[in-house]
Amino acid sequence: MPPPSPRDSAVTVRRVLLAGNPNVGKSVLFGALTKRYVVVSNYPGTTVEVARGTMELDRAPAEVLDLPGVNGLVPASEDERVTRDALLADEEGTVLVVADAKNLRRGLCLAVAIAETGRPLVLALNMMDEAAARGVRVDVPGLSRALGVPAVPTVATRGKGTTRLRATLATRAAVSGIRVDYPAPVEAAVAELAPLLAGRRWAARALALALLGGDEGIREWAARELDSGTRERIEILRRRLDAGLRNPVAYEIGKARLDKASDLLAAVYSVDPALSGAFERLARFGETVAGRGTAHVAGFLGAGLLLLSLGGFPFHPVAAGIAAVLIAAAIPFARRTGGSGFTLLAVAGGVYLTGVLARPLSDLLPEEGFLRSGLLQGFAAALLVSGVVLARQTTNLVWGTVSAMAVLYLLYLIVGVFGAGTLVDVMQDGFFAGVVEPALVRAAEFAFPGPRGAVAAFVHDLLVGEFGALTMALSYAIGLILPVVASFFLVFGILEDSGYLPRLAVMMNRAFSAMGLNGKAVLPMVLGLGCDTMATLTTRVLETNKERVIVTLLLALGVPCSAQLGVILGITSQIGATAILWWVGTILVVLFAVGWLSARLLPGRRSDFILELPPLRVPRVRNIAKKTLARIEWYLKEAVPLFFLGTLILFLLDRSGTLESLKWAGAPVVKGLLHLPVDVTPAFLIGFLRRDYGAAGLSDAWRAGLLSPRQAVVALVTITLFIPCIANFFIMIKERGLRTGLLMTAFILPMAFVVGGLVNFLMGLLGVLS
Amino acid sequence: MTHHCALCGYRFDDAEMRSTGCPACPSRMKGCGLVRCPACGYEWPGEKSSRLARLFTRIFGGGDS
Ligand SMILES: Nc1nc2c(ncn2[C@@H]2O[C@H](COP(=O)(O)OP(=O)(O)OP(=O)(O)O)[C@@H](O)[C@H]2O)c(=O)[nH]1
Ligand SMILES: [Mg+2]
Repeated sequence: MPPPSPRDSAVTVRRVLLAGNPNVGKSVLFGALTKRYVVVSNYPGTTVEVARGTMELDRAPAEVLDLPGVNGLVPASEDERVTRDALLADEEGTVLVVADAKNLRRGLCLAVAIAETGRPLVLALNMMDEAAARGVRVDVPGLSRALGVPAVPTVATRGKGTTRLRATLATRAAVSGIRVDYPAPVEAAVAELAPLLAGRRWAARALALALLGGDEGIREWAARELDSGTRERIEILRRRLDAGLRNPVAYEIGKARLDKASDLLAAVYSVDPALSGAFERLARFGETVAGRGTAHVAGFLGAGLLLLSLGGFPFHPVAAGIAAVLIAAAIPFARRTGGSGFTLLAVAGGVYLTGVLARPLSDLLPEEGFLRSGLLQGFAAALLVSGVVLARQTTNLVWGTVSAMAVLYLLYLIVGVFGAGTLVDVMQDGFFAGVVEPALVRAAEFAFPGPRGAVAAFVHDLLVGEFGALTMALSYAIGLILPVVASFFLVFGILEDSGYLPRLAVMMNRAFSAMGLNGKAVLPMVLGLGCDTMATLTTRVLETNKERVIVTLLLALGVPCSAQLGVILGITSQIGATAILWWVGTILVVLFAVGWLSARLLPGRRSDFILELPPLRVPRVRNIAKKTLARIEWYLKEAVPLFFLGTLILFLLDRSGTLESLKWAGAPVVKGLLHLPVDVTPAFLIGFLRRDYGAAGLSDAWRAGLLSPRQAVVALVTITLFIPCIANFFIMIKERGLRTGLLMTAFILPMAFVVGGLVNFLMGLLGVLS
Repeated sequence: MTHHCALCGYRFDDAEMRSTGCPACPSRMKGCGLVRCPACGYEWPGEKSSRLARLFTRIFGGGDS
């Protein structure tokens, strides 16, 4: 028989239709099956027209159609309609549903919808290579059993699994018996409609669902194919459903399918970042040798190293040697046993070694100046490039940590150095202090020429006095905070669009499970680094109430927002690595301790971790710019009024003399417990209103030389642990309820002071940063 | 206008968001300016409700991405 050319396809009856979500590799698979090249690209939605080709199925030619990617059978765009219509029009063909194995929920959702149409089906689990690299495990036979159709793992780009796919398509394609349970009113309407639709290409039940949830396109189809009596019936049922259901019909149908897909997923899909072979073997060996006790010893050793680091990285050959050997050994142990002792050891060893090595290395660098900063930036760039290269492996523990470090460093460079340093210098010291404030003060002098009466003086001070709305609030909000928030939003946008955030979630899953959370919680936490209020709102992505309460608490307690972070980094980077380490260490210990405790004390359960990974890609500049601008505008609208309110309250407190008495009343805590100058009390008070505002006050005090390095660290720790701002306080109450919100507040405030006092005590004991 | 969820990669348009995303939001505030993913519940400030972002689009183009 001569090889079939595409022209012959007109006479073949048998067909294979490739359907799947966008960007899952349908076109590559099409190419592999048919030996015909279709445009393949890494942008979702590249196949807009239907490509046709032929393949040999059981020694006879069969036509193959490569359909555009869709997310469901209710089309949202022209492409999606092409696919749905092809499925609706085609008489007898096998559907090959292509799913991305690492993003399985979406794929299963579509598979379920297509399965319901009652066509013979085969499921291809593509991108198995990427799934495996991310530690995703899919129980393929289990999935095949649950769906009632054959499932074949493939790597389309390397042609893996295509032979098996061909054989399966030829002989084993099956009609799935899966049944989704819809809400009762929907089921009733389907039962009424289905008999009128029997004997068509789609199973009557699926057709009834499509018509009930229907779009314009299916109405056109109905106008052609159904008699007017049936169409009227459909309209009546649809209207009745719309009135009787809380949500639109299409939503209820989609939701039921998604739930079904989630159930399937929970049974067959798991994520477990994999280790490379050598590590794995070493870890197995270690596991048999080591009992549980060693983990605790490791924990103690790690804690010791961490303490050494806190003391300012003294070089000790023995300690350094032990650190180097132990890190190498601890990483596989930590992975294998999940023992927090080993994890601590590995991290502590890394911190200590970096600190020790950084010293002689920085001595090698030339003193201040162009060359030095050039070399440092070069090093940073190298780190970044390696981070991006390794990003393919971002869910692997070791490389994941390296790339997370690179990402954090990028964050630090852009937010801490550029935003809080360069930009603030320009905006605050240059523009506000040099231009705006003098102009405002002069304008006020002009408007209220002295000598002033009581009212004029009051208004004058209200506007441009020490706690003036125009001078203090405006310059804090625009000069000090805006540059920092803006640069954070920029980085966050890049992280979002590159697909990095979900990977971070997978990586953090293990660490978070100790706190009764799963990796998904990393998202609100990272977002909290931008704005805790916004982040508290996104705790809704978490599934159980317990998880939401824990994350809300941790956000309010210990996750510094970008404004605050900028100020903190600005101050600590001037003091040195020891200060940063103390601050980071204290906050992390508090977060983990509180998380760990609340995981045990709070009732309820945590949910299973299922997150699908979108592909990593280079973000588009234009998108990032728009996102950043939208977020900046949002910040200005939300936060700036609160700055004015805060300043007003402070002004009134000052005027009425309450500020003086509060300073006096706060003295025992501020001076006695924290050993801070009484003059920073207003910063703490204002910290109740906005944590970043309070931090900005501290920054002022630091610049004015009011604080010693140790005092600065203590003050920063205390203010970090405060409730972020008044807006966050209200959001806490709104989202978690009055009782829970107030309980959290009652816990957080004393906690902040106690921890601050403890840090001061410990630093004194160890003699650091005196 | 289509949106692309940065968390789960889901693509959706305004109509889908209003019919399935927003009803799942506890605050149910009209015109809050946030975009909400119907698949996973992730939220972010939308570009459409932002004057700055619109201005950017007018100057540099790229309205539909
Ligand atoms: N690593 C890996 N990459 C794959 C695999 N299959 C496809 N790809 C890549 O995924 C991207 C998308 O592939 P396409 O075949 O264009 O996807 P599609 O499903 O046709 O996409 P649309 O037509 O836009 O819906 C391309 O960059 C492919 O090289 C696979 O098995 N493993
Ligand atoms: Mg394609």
